[in-house]
Parts: sequence; structure tokens; C-alpha cells
Amino acid sequence: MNNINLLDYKSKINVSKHRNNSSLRIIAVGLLFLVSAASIVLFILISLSPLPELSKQKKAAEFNLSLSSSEIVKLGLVNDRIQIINNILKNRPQYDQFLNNLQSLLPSGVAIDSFKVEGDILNVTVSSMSLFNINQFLDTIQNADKSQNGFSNILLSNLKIDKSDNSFSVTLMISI
Amino acid sequence: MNNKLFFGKNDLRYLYFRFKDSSLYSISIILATITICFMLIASIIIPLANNYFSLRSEVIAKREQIRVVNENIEFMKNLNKDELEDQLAIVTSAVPAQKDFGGIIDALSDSSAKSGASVNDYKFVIGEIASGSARKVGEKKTVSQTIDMTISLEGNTLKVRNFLKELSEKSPLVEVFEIDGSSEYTLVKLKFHYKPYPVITIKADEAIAAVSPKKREVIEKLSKWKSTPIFNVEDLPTSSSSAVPLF
Repeated sequence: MNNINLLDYKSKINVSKHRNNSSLRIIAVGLLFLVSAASIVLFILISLSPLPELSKQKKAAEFNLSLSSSEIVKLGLVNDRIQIINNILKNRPQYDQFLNNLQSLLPSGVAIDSFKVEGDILNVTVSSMSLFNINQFLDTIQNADKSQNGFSNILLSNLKIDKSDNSFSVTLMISI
Repeated sequence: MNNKLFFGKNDLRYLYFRFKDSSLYSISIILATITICFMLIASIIIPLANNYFSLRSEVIAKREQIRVVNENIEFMKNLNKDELEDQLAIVTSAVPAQKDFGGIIDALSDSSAKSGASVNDYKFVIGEIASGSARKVGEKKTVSQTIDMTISLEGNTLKVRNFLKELSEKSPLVEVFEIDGSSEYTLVKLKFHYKPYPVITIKADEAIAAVSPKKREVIEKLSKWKSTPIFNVEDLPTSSSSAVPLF
């Protein structure tokens, strides 16, 4: 009874079209296989992930490290201080060296009367009883190696003769 | 009469029996299967794959973090704790955490004694109180705070130069920013550096920075710069008729 078709069905079965559909069927079956296989494989890979175990290991290692936290802080403080110290040592002016360089250029008979260093300007007044010595000092400082003594620009700002004691003094403004 | 048994034109069963032997039926089933497969790929497989790859990269990152933490543990085990204490003491004396007036006086008296220039007078600019200055911590990591000071030196230029040289090799670190001198007296303006301790954040999965050889050199240099008191407090006479001069 089930095989009796009572419907008014007039369409013809086209066998050749069925054959043409076989490639589509293969694609469909292939896709079904791919989807099922991929979902199973991915599910297994995800469920077998070592991440929870690694998290536990990391926590244990971090706990072990936390036992040395005071030393780590000390090490951090040492590194922080060194950074500041390097910064200070690099940037602070070495005025003692400039004074040393200036004194090394003084010929005998010439003495420093006064000096003032502010920023990168050194104002110095030297005096001598002899104009020759003053001249010698000026020659020396003029011809001195700038890279060694650090004096980049020298300006003679004052030349004075003190008649009371026949002394000569010269004031220089030196860029350091 | 039950409608379900009636093969009406709108009933799915009618459509099924109507098209079940036609080519359209099989094509529609295949296309539906393919469409559902693509929908599954888009909605399940691709997110699962993304999840797997992100898990994989997380596993790699976690392994790397564990490696770094284990290296840190090993590093801390091999670290010489006594040496670290000494290093911290040296660098802290060079740049104290707070205003170290005792260290400043020691540095000045030591420099004065070694150079021959005597300190006649000195003036501190105390600056902000500790809580106010502490608030400034962290403004700039490498910038320290300073105590400004003016000292009056007695001595010739050579002594002043020696004093400055000695002072520059003392802890706490000092910076001279102005000198105004004559043949006998010199006024020197100084800045003594200090900086409150910063908050050190421990990041377990970051490699701990060791004290590099260059930094060790600086520490060694600083260790030689420590002020050596010119007299021992314990050696001082307990009942002296004359005052012991500081400078």
C-alpha cells in the first residue's frame, strides 16, 4: 500500500542529472566528515591542554620566588640608586678641575686675586707685580689646549694698574 | 477528521511526496547539508580553532614565564646577600633616602681636614618638610632632590680646589653650583643629593636585573668615597676642658 502513489505526479526522473549531482554529494559528505572530525580533534586538543597544570607550576614558582622578595627589592633599590648616581656624576660640573687647570697655567709671580664660577662662566682676576708675567699668563692661556683645560672662550674684561703698589691685575671671563 | 492525515497542498508531507523523486529534492538536500556544514564551520569550528590557537600561544607564554621565574629563583639563590647589603649601604650613603645632615657634616669636615681649607660658616636651606618632599617622589625616576647649602671657606685657591676635589669624592654626593672667592675667603654654594626610596614592584615573570659590571665599577668607586671620620667618637675625651673643633 505504501508504494502506491496516488498523487498526480508527472515529472520524469532524470538519471543523468542524478549523476551530475554526485560531485555535490561528495562535497557534502566531505564537509560533514570535515566538520565532525575537526570538532572532535579540536575538542580533544582543547581538553588536553596543559594550561591548568602550567598555571599551577607558575604559582608554585612565584611562591618560591616570593621568599626572596626582600632581596629583590634591595636589588631594585641598588639599581635605582646607581641610575641616579650615574646621572649626578655625569651632569655635575667639575669646578675643582677648572681651578686646577687655571692654576697650572699661572706663571710664577702671578696670583689669583678672586674668582667666581657660576654655571659655565668663570670670572677670574689675577695680579702680578710685573706686566711681563701678566702677558706671559695671557699668552699661555691663549695658546693652551682647549680640549684639555676645558676653557672654550676667553674674554679679557678688565686690565688694571694699581699705582699704590705698582701691581697689574687682569680680569678674564672664561666659558667652561 | 484529523488534518494530519490529509495531504493538503501546503503540507510538508505533500511537498515531500511531490518532489521526493525529482532531482530538485536531492539537490536541495545536498545544498542544505553544505550550507549547514558551512554554518557549523563558521559558528563552531572556527571559534574552536581560535580557542585552541589562543590556548597554544598562552601555553607557550606560560612556559616562558615559568622559565623566567625559575631563572629568577636560581639567580636569587646564587646572589651574594652580604654583598648586596654592602652595595645597598654604599649607594644609599651616596644618595640617601632622606636629608642626611650627619653625612653632610662628616663630608665637609673630612674634606676640610684633608684639604687644609677651614669651613668658617655654613648655612643649610632645609627646604620642604619630609612629607612634602616625599610627595614629589616618582615625578622623575632619575631626578634626585637636593639640600642647598652655602659654606664659607678660609684658605687660598689651592686649598679651595683641594677642598672641592675632596668633597666631590665624598658621600652623600654633592654638586657645586657657584663659587665666589678671593685669595683668602671663598663662598661655595652646594647641593647635596638625596632621594626617597621608590616603590619597587616585583614582577615575577620579568628577568631580575643584576648589578652590571659597569654599575659594580661605580659602586667600587663610591665605596672608596665614603667619608672617613677624622676622629673616632669613642676616642674623644669624655671630659675635655677645650672644645674639639669640627673644622
